[in-house]
Amino acid sequence: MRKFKALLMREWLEHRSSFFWGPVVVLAIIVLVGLFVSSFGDRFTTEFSSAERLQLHEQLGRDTDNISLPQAAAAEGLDVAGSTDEELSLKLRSFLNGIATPFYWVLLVVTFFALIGCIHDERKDRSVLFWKSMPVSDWQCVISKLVLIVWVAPLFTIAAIVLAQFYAIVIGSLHVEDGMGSRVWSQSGLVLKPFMLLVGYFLQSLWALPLYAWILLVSSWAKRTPIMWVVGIPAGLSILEGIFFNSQYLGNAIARHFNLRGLPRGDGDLSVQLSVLTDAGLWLGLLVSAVLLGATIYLRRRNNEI
Amino acid sequence: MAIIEAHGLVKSYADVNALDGFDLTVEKGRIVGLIGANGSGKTTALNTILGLNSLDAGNISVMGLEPIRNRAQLMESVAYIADTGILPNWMRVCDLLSYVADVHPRFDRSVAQAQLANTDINLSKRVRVLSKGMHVQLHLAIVLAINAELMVLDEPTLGLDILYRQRFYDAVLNDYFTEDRSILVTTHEVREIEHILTDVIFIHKGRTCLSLEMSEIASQYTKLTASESTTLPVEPILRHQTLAGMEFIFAGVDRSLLEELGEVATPNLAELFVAIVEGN
Repeated sequence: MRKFKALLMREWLEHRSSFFWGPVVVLAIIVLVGLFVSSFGDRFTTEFSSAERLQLHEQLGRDTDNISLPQAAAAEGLDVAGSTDEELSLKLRSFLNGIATPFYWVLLVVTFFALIGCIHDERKDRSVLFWKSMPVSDWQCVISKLVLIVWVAPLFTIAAIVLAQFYAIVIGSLHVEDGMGSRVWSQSGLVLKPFMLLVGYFLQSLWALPLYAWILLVSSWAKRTPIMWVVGIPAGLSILEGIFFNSQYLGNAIARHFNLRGLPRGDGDLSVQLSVLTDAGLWLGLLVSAVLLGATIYLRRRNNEI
Repeated sequence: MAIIEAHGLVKSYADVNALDGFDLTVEKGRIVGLIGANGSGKTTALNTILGLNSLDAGNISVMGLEPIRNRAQLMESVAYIADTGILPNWMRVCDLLSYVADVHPRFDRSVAQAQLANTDINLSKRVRVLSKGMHVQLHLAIVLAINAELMVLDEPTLGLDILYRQRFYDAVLNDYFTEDRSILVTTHEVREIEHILTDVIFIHKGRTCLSLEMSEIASQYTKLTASESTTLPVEPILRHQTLAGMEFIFAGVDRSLLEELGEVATPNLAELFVAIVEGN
């Protein structure tokens, strides 16, 4: 256990800058945009057409001559007063998902490069010879890399999303129609959000595991430009499959597992999320992952420096 | 039981036989030099001992274990330094020590830190910023703090300046070597290690072409310096023109036969290596 913790720590030290600074930068941008809107948004007024003005007037029930841009946006986008609880909760959910999306894109890029480099880089700089001179077996090493990159380091991103969503609700509740802020809070589902994000992320990581395992395999196998092989081999095989069998099973399977299914955003109810467990594609994917990881461990044992 | 026992090792890469029937035995308490030219199969032989290479044929046992299958277990009692800096560049020295302390049951951090205290290496520095000599000093400090039964050194002083080289072997001898431990070292700077070896093995084209205790060299090989026209009682294994005259190296010849012909001495390892490899 102590050994595995040391392996995770080693992996974290190697990748921490991207896994830490990635979400921090996104969070900082969101905070700055929020501050800007709150502080200076009042200075921006828009020209509303008379029809828009009429609609806003009806929604807000007050004069709209000096309404600010963020207020108008909140009124139009959320329309808190004119929504039922259920409608409002749905709108807030998609608002919060929008906040989470840039974090997931950054995480996707960071994860991709961490996986593709983690075995290839140590072979390239020959440090693999040092790691292999330690009493650590190849399977412990490969599994520790996977666990840290896929399941531990992304917790920073989840934490950053929780903060960003909380912040977004604060800013949002300040700009909705007067007296409606409390409804925004109560319908935001913010209390359960961290839990839903974790469950969603975990399920999504299982769903995408064959892709992660494939990247690791290429990292332990390719002599140079692993990124080319990661993309090139599946693309080539799909094309060959199309030519010779006139089918697209491989391409479809990859697309299906690459599609993140909205899972990580903590979308929907728990039962909706957990329904992925009954999808045969998940279990087939896990089986494929096990085979790919086995091959990765075999290659880690066989291949040394490049 | 021997620490390393290897017989008939064969390993091919594409169409090159890196090892072609290589034999090696290392007993406890010995310092064995593995001498060979570039491309002779030295590094492949060491990699096989360390469990980094699989074999095409042959038997190998290191401390009773099959290296490739049991590398992790084997590495608890084997220490290794390679020919170039292989420590991870991105790591801080202190993090590196913590890592080794956590994964290696026979590592004593205080010993490593005491070693480092005698150097200019700062624990908070990254490996990347260390000079080549410091990089080797750091690796040596780690390795000396491991209570290993076998130390494998692959050209450890390559590219180091002369002060570091001397200090390196002094430290290995004083702080590591005991009669319960063994060292296997490769180098092509033969002179540098000649005086510390107990045994020597020559490797050429993947085969063992000499395996001797150092003390046996004098009784088996003789160097004669004489004039070119000297009539020789037996054929030498090597003739070599020098400023002092002609040098001949003989194998298995009684010295008393040669003493009257000229100056007789024991060949050094470099001379012997040339004689044996060229004779092959």
